[in-house]
Amino acid sequence: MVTHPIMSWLNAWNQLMAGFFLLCSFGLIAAAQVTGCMRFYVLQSLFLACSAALLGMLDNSTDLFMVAGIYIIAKVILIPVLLKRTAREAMIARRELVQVIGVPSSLLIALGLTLVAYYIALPLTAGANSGTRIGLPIGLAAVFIAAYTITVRREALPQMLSLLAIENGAFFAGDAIAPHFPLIGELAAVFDVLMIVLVLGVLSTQVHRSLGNTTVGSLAQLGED
Amino acid sequence: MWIGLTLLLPVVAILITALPVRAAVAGTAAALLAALNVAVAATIAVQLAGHSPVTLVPGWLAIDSFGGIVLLLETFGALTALLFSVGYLKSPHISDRRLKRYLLWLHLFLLALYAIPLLNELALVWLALTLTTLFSVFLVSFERTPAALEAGWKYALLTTLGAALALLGILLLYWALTKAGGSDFTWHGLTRAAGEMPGSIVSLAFLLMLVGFGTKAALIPFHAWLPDAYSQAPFPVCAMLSILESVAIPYVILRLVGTIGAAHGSHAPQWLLVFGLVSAGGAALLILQTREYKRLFAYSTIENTGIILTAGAMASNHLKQAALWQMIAHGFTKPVIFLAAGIMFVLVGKLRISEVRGVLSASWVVGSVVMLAGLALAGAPPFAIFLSELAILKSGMVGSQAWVVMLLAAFMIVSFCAITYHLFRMVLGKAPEDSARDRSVIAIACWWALVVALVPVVVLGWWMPPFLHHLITGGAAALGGTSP
Repeated sequence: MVTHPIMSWLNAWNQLMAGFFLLCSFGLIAAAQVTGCMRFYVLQSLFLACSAALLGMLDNSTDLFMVAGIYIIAKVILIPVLLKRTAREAMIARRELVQVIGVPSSLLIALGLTLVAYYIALPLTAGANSGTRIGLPIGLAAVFIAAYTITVRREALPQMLSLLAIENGAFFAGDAIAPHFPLIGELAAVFDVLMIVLVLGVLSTQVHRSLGNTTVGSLAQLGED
Repeated sequence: MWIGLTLLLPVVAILITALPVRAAVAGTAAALLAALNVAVAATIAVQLAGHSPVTLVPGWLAIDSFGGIVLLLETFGALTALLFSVGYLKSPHISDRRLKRYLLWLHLFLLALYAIPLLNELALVWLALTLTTLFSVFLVSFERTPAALEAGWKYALLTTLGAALALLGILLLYWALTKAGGSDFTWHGLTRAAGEMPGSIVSLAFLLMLVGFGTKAALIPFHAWLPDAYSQAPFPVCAMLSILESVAIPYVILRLVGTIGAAHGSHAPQWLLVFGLVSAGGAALLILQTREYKRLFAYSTIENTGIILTAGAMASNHLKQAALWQMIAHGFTKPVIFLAAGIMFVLVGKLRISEVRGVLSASWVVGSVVMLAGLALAGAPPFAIFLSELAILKSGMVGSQAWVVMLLAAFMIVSFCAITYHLFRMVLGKAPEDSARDRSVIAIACWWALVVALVPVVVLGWWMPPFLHHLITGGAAALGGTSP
């Protein structure tokens, strides 16, 4: 299908970005401190932006270049700044994060989730171009892994960063399968991400002040009796 | 023009709240604006009845019969919740600044809520739905106690997780649309392209959206956030959350099934049927065993959402009409019960059902109001929910899927018995000595809110205005109902 040497070169780079993108999902599971989670999220967003730009060249879509720019501004620059402002106390607390399931087992589970993602995505991508065949399974895998990370993390900020990583995964798949998705939709999602950071950042600070830590997983006074 | 006004009025309310005025002034102004918005929504509804959709910006802002129903319920719920808030939160412990912040978040929430039936572009509908969560987080955690903060965090995290999954569904749906040669990502564009869309992709997309939006609507088994959020949030906030879950979200889900159900090989209606039945049945059991009356009414919201989705998922046009009728009846009844429960809480100061006794003997007005509202919610005659549930049973018993309706009937009976049982335990009997406060602690605005909220519940039990009947017929047709 793709014959032009530049095209295959772009494709190869896109595959590389996809690999790094997925690696960052694993990093989010393994990171031992909040700042580590944060770095992996920013890195993942950077790879997402690179992939969007490469797909923009492949699909001849100016929209995707704009999308790449939006990702850089919102996710790579604005979100870290916002988080440091709204949730400073929780951010700089230097301590080992607690997890319900240990890191090695979690990484194995994440590997299994990646296989599941491929199993779901492959029948759908039959006959599609190579961007779709890479983007959809990797995006799905990132979504599944991030959703899993939310359930095992116990602290507020890593949970929130995993939530944002789900959105990254959705758009990694989305940019590949729907390169001409209305720009207004992309803007809506980015606006949503910024609102999440703002609201959940402030809320996590309130939790921090009222409890002295942000181990929301151990907040268990509310139950059905 | 009327559509624009609906969105403009909350913005005006936000601006007034931002001005350096006292919270009481801002609250009163907000209640007046909300009353004006009910009039606007009613005007739109009358315009819609029997005529074509009302459009402001073609392809972006337009509303049809189904949307008209939703907007009317949302604005009416907002009016009662705002009126009640003015009285309920007037306390020396709550500073003017906090109260104004509460009003600000509530207006932002309402703005997003009103936008849902008005927007046509699917990505924007998703954004509006997601924003309703984010804007209501601080309403849920308003009390700022550790328990309230925990509830707020759970609520925000789980519903935003749902929204992120739904986003993936939206993207997949757009992919299916482009595969069918379409590019117009509106309800209308999807309906046109539905027949050509690949069923496998549509199925995955719908499943993701059902799980995502279902988490927001607290469908069982995605309801983990609900018991905490409802037991911590102030009563008027509970009323608005109920409107979101039982009106706005079913609107989006039923619309989706109505548009993409036509895709070849998609199982959207069947999945919705299963989800609806599980929620209705599971919630009926949860109502039986709950120990807090706030949660009791929250579970009843899930049960009704389940009933609406189940009836709406079936092909028969009569059942779709009955589903919309149920949505209207429940949407008008829910604020009444939460406001009545709020008044009861002010009087007795307890949340657990086992600790509340003899409300009727402590104050006959409060007791009888709670009794009346509870019976209306349980589905007793002569109130609106009784008629709508009867309509569902009557129109569903004839088709080949009569077993579904029989199951629904069983769930309705279980929840009727459970709600009345809990209700009688609280209202009847002898009040413990010196437990109840004097009735004068209840602010006059709360009573007004309750009186306003009661009007449609009582009226709809006897008489359905013709315009509402037209809206239901038009709405069911828009959902793709087929005549039996």
